[in-house]
Amino acid sequence: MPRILGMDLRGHLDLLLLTTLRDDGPAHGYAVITRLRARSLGAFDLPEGTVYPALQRLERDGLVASEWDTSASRRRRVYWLTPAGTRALAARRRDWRVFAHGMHAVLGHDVTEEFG
Amino acid sequence: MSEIERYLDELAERLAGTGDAGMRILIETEAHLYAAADDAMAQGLREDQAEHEAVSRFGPPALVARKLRAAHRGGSVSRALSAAWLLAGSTICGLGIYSMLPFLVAVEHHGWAAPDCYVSLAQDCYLPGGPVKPLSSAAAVLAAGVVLLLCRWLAVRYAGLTTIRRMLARLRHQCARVRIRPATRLPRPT
Repeated sequence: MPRILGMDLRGHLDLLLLTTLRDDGPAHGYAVITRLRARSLGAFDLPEGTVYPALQRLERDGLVASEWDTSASRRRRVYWLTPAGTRALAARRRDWRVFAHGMHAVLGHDVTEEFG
Repeated sequence: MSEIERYLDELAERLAGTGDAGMRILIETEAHLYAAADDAMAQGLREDQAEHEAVSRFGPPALVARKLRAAHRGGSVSRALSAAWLLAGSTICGLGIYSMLPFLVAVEHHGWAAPDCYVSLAQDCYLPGGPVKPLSSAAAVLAAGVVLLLCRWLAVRYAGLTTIRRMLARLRHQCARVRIRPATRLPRPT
């Protein structure tokens, strides 16, 4: 599967991070990134360092919460979804479905078959 | 000095002036890079190759620093605008309600047969307690405040302006933040 770099992911990174935290539970940044890469079959191979500012922004907005985990040899910040984050995720998933449906309708079935 | 240590030094320089947010991301970056390097070595890469792979995947320090600054800059402007808007709307609404108090007092004394000047646009009413603004002026002030708050609600709903909940979350976050010690470069576990 081709890699999708930077540009195409910028507008959807929040949705991907919130979904990963909802589906796979609380995790530190590195685990979030590896899960995201694994679930996308390597397609979402973004610069990993950009995920941390995004997580901080989501936390600032009250959509995720975090605390330090000192159980490992190095301190790591563990993130989880807040109730507000769950609601925001539901709304963004609805928006995404409408967007994806529209794109699919315009581009047609042959586009998805190219990557099949 | 290893490649990861060089990367962390450069990132620390790029993050100068970002305060706790920068310190926090520096600590997270350190843990991330060593974990990524450990995973790469577990897959058969040499240590220097594994560190190079981890650093490459993380992205340039300048990019990470820019993203962090952008993440916090946008929020500050939005929060300030949202708070100022809310304060202005609430204050004007409060003034409108305060201006209506004489009318409510008069209604209490005179019943609903209030003097005509209460609905006049310009003339003050002279009551035993002193002159009061006509009711229509107070209503106009109150309406202006309500319109202001309504516009703010629309900006929150459709333009992504920061909500009160987010502002409170930010406040809680600031209050509960952990004082982070300067990042210490621990030797890699062997």
